[in-house]
Amino acid sequence: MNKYSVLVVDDEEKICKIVRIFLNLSPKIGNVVIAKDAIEAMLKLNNQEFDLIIVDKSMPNKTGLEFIENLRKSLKHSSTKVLLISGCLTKDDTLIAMKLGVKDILVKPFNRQRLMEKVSLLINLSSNS
Amino acid sequence: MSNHLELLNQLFEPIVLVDKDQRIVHYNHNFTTFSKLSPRKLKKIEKFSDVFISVDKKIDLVKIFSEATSENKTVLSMEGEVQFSDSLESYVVVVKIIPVKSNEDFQYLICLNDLSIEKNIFDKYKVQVSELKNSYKQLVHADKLKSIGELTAGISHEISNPLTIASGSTELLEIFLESGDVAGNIDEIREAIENIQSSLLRINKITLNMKKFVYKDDEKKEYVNLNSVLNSSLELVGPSFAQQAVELKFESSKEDVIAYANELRIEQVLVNLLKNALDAVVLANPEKRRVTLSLDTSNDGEAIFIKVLDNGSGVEGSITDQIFNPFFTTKEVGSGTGMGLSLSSQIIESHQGTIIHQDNIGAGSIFTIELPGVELSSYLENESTISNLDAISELKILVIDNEISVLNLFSSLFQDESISIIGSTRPLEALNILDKLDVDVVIADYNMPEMNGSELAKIIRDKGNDVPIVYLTSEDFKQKFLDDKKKLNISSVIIKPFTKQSILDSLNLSIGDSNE
Repeated sequence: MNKYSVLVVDDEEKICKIVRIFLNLSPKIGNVVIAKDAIEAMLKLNNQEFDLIIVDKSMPNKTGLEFIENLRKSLKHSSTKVLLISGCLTKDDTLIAMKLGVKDILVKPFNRQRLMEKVSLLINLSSNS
Repeated sequence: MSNHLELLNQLFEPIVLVDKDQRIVHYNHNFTTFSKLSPRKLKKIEKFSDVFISVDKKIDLVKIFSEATSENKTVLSMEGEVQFSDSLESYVVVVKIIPVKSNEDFQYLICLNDLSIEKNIFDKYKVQVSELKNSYKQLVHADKLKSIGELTAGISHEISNPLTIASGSTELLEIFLESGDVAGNIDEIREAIENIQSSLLRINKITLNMKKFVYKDDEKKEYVNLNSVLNSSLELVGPSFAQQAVELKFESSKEDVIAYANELRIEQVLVNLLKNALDAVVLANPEKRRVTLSLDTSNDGEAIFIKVLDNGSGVEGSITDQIFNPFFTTKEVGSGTGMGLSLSSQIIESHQGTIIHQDNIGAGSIFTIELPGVELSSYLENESTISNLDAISELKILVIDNEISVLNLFSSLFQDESISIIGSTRPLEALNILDKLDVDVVIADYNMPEMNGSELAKIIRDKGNDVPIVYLTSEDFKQKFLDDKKKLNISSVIIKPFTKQSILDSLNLSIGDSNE
C-alpha cells in the first residue's frame, strides 16, 4: 500500500515539527519532510516526489505564493496538491492563491483537527484504500 | 431744514423723524417701502411706537425713546425682530434714536439698521458649523476605528504563530499522556511544555509592545516643578486678564511641588481652565472680578491639588454632568470649540488624576485637579507598561534626589530597559513609599536638604528593611560610603558625574549581593 509523502514549509521551525508529528500519526502518511524556507524546499523537491505540499504564506525572502508560482512553472510540479497556511488572509492573496491552483487555505492558529480535515480533503486519508 | 429732509430721501436706511411725543414729522422714501405702510396710514398714526412691534420683545421702543428724550442723547437699541403694524413681514434691526435740534426744540431721528441679511447668513453658518462638528465627530471615530483595525490586523498576524505552537504543543501533551508511555516520551513532553511557555511569553511581549505603542511621544512624562508650570500658565493668560480688568491671584503653599507629568499638557489644561474662568467672570461682571489659582499638597504628601476659583457666572446644576463631554459648550458659535474641558479631563486622567467642578461659595466655580504624588505617579506609569508574566524580572529602582534633572536623567537612561524608575525628591515621602511598595534597590543622593544619606539609610535599616541601598554623591563625599558600608550595609556608591555604565555596575554589585 502506497503511503503519502508530504513536504512542510514554514520559517517557524516549531510549527513544522508539530505539523510533522500530527501528520505522522496518520497511518496513510509515510514520509514527512520539513523545510524552513523556499530554497530548502526546492532542494528537497529535487530529491523526491511529494503528494502534498503544505506551505506558509508569510516567509522571508521568498513568500509562499512566490514559491507556489515557481512550482507551477515546472512541469513536474504543475499539479501537485498544495495547502496554504496563513496568519492573516487578504482578499488579494486569496485571489492569487486561487489562480495558482491552491484549493484550500488553512488559517493560523489551527489545531490538529482542522489541519487533518484540510489535509484529508486533498489526499485520501481514510483507512479503506 | 427741508434740504435736510430731502437728503434723508437719498439714504438707504429707513428713517423717521418724530417729535418728543413720537408724532411723525417726516419719513424718508425707504421707510415706506420698508414698513409697507401707506402714506395715508402713516398720517393717521398718533405715536410711532403704535406701529412698531417688537416681535421678540428685545427692543423696548418706549423705553429707549424716553431715554433719548430725557437726556437728549443718541441711544442704540439691541438687535431684535420687528414688524410694522399689520404687515406680516418681519425684519431683524437695530434702532438708533438721534436727537436733532430744530429751532428751540428737539426732534428725534429714528434710524433702522436692517440686519436681516446678516442674521440669515449667521443662522445658516450656525447650522453648517453644527453639521461640521458632527462630521468631525464621525471622522475622528472612523479614524480611531481604522487605526484599531490596522493595529489589530498586525497583532493577530504576529500572534498567530505562537498561538499555533502553544495550541499544537498542548495537543501533543494530550497524545503523549494518553499513550501511557510518559517515560519514553519524557524529552518530547519537556520540549512541548517549554514551547508552550515560550509561546506565551512571545504573545505577552506583543501585547506589551501594543501598550507601549499607545503611549505616544508627546504624552511622555517627566519630573517637573509644578510651581514653574503654573507660573508659565499664568504668564500666558496674564495679558488677557489685564485687558479685561480681572484680578489673577496665585497661591502656593510650598516652594517646590514636584510632579511626574507632561509639562506642556498640564499647561494646556491650566490655560483652558483659566480662560474659562476669565470668560465666566467677565460674563457675570461682579463687583470684584477675581480668579485665583492655587497649588497645594495633602498632609501626607500623597496628593497634589491645583484649584482654579472664580466668582463668575458658575455652572448651572442641570448641566454639571455634561460640562466634561466633548463638544459641549455654553458659548456662542465661533467662540470656543467645546473641546477644552473634555480634552483637559482626558489629559488629567492620563496622569492618573481627577478633575471635578464644584460651586464656589456665593457665586462662581471651583475646578479642582487632583494628581497623585510624584512617587506614586512614576510607579503607576511604569507599572502600566510592564508585564509580570515575563521570565525576565523587572528591576524597580527608587531614586531619591532633590534635583529633578537627576531624576529625569535616570528616567531617560533606562526608558527602554526592563528597569522601572520611581523618582522622589522628598526623603520622607520616599520612606513612605518604601513601606508600601516592593522596591529592588534604593539609590539616594547623599546631600539632601531634608536629611543626608546616612540618616535615610539608618531609618530604613531600623525599620528592618534590608533593601540594597546605593549612595549617589560627589567624589569628596565618597568617604561617607566607606564609613557606612559595613555599619548600614550600603552596597555601593555612584560618583557624580555618572554614566549609565557606572549605574549598571552599582546595580550589579547591589543585586548580585542579595541573589540566592
